[in-house]
Amino acid sequence: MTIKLGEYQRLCRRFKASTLILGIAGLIYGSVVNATPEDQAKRIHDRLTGNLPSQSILSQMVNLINTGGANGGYQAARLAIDNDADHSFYNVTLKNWASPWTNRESDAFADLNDYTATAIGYVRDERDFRGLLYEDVLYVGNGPSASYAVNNNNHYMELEAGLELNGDPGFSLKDDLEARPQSSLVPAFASGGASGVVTSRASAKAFLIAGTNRAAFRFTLLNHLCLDLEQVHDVTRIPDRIRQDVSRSPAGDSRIFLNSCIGCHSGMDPLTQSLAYHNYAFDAENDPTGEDGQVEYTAGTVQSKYFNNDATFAPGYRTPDDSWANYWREGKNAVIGWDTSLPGRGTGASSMFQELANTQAFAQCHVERVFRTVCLRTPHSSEDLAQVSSLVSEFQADGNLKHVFASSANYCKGE
Amino acid sequence: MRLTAIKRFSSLISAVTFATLVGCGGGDSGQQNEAGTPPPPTSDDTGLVYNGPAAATDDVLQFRINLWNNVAGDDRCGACHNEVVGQEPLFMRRDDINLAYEATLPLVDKATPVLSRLVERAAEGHNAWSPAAADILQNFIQSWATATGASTNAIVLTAPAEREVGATRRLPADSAAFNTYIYQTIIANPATGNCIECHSENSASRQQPFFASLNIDTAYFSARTLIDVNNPASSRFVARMQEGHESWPDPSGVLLPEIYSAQEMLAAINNFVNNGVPEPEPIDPAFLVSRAINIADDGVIASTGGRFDTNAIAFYDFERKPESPRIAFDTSGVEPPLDLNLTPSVQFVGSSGIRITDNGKATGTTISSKKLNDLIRLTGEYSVEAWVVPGNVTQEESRIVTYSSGTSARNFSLNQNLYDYRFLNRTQNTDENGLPSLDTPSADEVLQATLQHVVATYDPIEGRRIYVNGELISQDPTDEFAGDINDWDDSFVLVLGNEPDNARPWEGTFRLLAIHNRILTDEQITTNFEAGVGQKFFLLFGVSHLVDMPEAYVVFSVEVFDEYSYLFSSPFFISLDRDAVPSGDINISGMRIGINGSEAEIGQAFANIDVTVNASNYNAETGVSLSTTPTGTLIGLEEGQFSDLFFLTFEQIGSNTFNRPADPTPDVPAPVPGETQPDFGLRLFDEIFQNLSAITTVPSSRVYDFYTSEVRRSLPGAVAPNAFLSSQQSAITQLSLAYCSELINDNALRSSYFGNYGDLSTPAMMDALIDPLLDRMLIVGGGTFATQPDADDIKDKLVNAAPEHQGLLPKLQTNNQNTKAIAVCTSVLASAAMLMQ
Repeated sequence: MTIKLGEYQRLCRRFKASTLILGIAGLIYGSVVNATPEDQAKRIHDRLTGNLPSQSILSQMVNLINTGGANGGYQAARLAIDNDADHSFYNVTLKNWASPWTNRESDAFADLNDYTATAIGYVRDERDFRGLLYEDVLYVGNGPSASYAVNNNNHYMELEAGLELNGDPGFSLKDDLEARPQSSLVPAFASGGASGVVTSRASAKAFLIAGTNRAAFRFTLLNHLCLDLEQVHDVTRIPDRIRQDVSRSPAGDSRIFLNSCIGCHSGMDPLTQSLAYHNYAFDAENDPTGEDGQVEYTAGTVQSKYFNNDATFAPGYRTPDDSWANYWREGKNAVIGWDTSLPGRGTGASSMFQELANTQAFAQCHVERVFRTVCLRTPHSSEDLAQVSSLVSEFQADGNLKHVFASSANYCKGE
Repeated sequence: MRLTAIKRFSSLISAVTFATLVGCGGGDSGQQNEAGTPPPPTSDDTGLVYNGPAAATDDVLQFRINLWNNVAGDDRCGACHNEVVGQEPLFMRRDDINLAYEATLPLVDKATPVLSRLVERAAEGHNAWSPAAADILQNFIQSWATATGASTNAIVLTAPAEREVGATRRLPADSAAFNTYIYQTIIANPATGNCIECHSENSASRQQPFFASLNIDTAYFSARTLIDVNNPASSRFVARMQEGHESWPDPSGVLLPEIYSAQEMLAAINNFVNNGVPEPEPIDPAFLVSRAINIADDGVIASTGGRFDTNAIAFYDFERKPESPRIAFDTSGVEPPLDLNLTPSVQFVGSSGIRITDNGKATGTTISSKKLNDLIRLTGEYSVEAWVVPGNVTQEESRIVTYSSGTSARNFSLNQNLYDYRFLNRTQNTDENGLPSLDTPSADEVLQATLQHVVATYDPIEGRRIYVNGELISQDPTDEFAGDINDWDDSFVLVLGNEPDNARPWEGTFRLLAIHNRILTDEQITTNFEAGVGQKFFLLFGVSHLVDMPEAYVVFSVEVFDEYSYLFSSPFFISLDRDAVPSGDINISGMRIGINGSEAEIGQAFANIDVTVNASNYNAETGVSLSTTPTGTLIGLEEGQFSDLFFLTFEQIGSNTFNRPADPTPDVPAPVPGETQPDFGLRLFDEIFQNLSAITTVPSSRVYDFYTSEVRRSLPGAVAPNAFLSSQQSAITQLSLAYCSELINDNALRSSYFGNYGDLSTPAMMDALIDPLLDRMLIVGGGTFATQPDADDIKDKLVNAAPEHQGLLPKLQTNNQNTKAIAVCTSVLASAAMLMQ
């Protein structure tokens, strides 16, 4: 089935139908005040799955709302999540929710990949979502003829193309994902080095490719703590681990370094050191975008990219290994909310990303993002802020993001 | 700087006895002699003939080649200090080079040529034939030293005078004064710069640092590093205003905004300092503090030797000469001097260097530039070596250094093209513009806007090569463009930072430029790269009062890095008592650098060191290194190298410990409720794809390829209604059309879905088509829904409304029933009833 734009335009001209499209302004939805249980059920379902409930699901949800008391809406939301006929919460909502994290452009249209599938799997299985960043886990499809490969994404593209919808027989991200040790899937990690989605193929292709590996840290900060480097800028940290490639006198003006560059690099570089053995290997000449590349892990040997431009400031830090330290536990970035039960230093990527995942900022980021996904707005009122605060506390207790989805849908169902 | 340094280091050469150099006019005053200074010689007429005995040693020979030949003529030192005139010392005697050598030795310091008495006297103006005479003499001695390997001599460390750390102003602990004098008057004042529009965590475009936070303590916390209470004019707040960053206009219209707002900001900070900052206080007595030291008074000059400049025919270290502030002198000593005239927008920077901006340039004359042509054509090869800081990586075809007449004809040039160095050299096998060029690989982004050592070499065998930071980056793959350079034009001029006609401006900084009429070998380039640029000093921070070891020091190598900072590097612990040995473990940890009474707020890269010095690792010659990596850090310059007084603090040194308090932590700002937002939005792309499939019952696989290849990325990707675009509506319509076409054109599906809807000529027939669609697009039955449109209302607007109100029926002008049905179906599906959630 292919309809070209030209054909569409001919049809429009023929029927003078171009003016017949209903203007979006013609139907204005207002806030749901005095919402009926049916309205509430419909909205819960709509927001969680992106589609309307069947009559059967609707009546079950309405019944739960009517009889479940304060918990009724939450139970209705859980029903919608796991009983929608098209599994749209997984196939559509979660896929689109996680896809922007997997590429530099924050592209929600990105193909399904191991990063997205793993994020969906963590929610589906109600695993502690913080482990997404550091556990030895990847989710793979159960059914595609193309098996998981370290050097292509065919497995997940086949899975996505074959997703069932509306009676089409096919795959489901609810039923056809299974967790596997990343170390068993990726030979490079057989003896260590895996760190959740950060070392997934999609993440490596996007963030560990070329460069200096700082992107893997920066985008994790951005996507999972909702903080860009600008927001963690602190010039007062000890700058002893800023690598040699950072100019101390950009354009001949060291004030720029001392007032700007140092604010990010003093904290970022000692954390990014944890990825010193990671790389995304690809044929730069014949495959410049790394479509056929794969993650590389050289235990005990620092990747050469850590010595790029080492003459830029030769007295700078020369990376000896993958040990890391978190200098942002003190100073202004203490407000990120670090887990005091963790040591704040270590070796390797996994422990470093555990440091990030166990922050208040990680919890706040994901709870707020779920709230926006389900409620279609940022929390703005004092009630919204209180709700988010409550959900953050709950998330920090168990890391259950499916619970946050259901709770948010219940909160935003209308009154 | 040289004069000061030499004066301070007279102890190093105190053992040397020499007679005072006296000019021809007699007496000791250089000033007296300057009027009679003869004009510089030409390269082919020094009037010098030597018929004496041969050099007895290689060092004597190198002395003759590198120094004597250059200054023994009648126009320089040789005019008086020879055996005929008899002016002692006879270091330029012409009868016996070996005797001249013996007379010269006490007058030079080959390990540190800048400390040579010859250089000192020239710097004082004694018979100085040029404002750059001292530099030229220094280069001659340096070349002599390099040729004989004397430039790598060990540094002799000498004990500085003991000084205590002075008092200094410190920022108050609480934010009240900051709030009164700076925050309220400037930062939170919407009339002055709108800081609060960005530098607040609550602003839409929040930008660190949050010195405009609504929480005054958070704001003050972030502003502390931006205020210099000891020199308010040096505050970062003021500097940013001077740079025009969000400056605000002078109400009177007299001053430029950047000047006016800088004055306002400075006035506010002065008020803050005068009214809210305590008087200068001595450093906290709990600190473990070294003795204080100053570069100019106490620094031990580190040799900058090791450069290979034997074949330099033009050399610029860009040291500003007060008597000629608009000239960059050629200190190669090769006549004629190719001095460069600076246009007004070229400024000397730091201790040495020029910054070229705003279409500026540094230009030689045609006559003096001719020596490049003459001397390079003699050898047929050359090297252009520079320490440069490109101002940015966005300038294209910009001339760093060129020997040309304009954009279309040149002998050579070294250009910047974005991230590439570009080298053009004219030979018999290139065009007259030196094209095609040799570039560094664009993908490698070799050129960076930072200090880099770049060398371009050419010889007729190997062709062109470009080295950056000591590494060979590019070279001609073949000899296709090599050849003789006999076509060079001697009427061209040497220009830095532009073409002679100003058509190719370059922005950036030169720290050094040398043009050699030989290629530099790989080893020589490495040597010159490792020699670095600029004068280095050793600072000895006394710590004997803190450790059980006599004459103990922590020593740093320090240099003025640029106009705004010092580079402190390679710290080590040593005792100047060569017999001293640590009696036990000397633990040194938490070392910080202090400046003018306070620890520097930024740049404490040695604060994490933790080193133990003891008898087993201590070496009386080299001490014990305190840091292997990093070896250096920048400390912001405050008063300047002649005034800034440095010291060190420690958390532990020897048996002394200082329990440093934890860094202050700001409060977590409470979230602030914002504006009410709509709680409805658009369905996103996959949701639309899925919903249309659900409404039409057409399996999505039938339109999957069309969806993914044609319309997916044109569908809404964000839920915000105010982000909805007409192009997205078009994509929704296309996808609806695709689904409807599948539904209507599939007989089985259509029949199952609609039954028979006739020819759609009546409202009833339209109902038969539209009702099944609405039944699936809306929830029909099961209760009352306030959040979906009414089915009858939709039908009324679709079918019965007047044409001008977009009624559909009158517009169906085809007799093809299925085509009509597809159009109606598309109109229903591609509506807000489907799109909104």
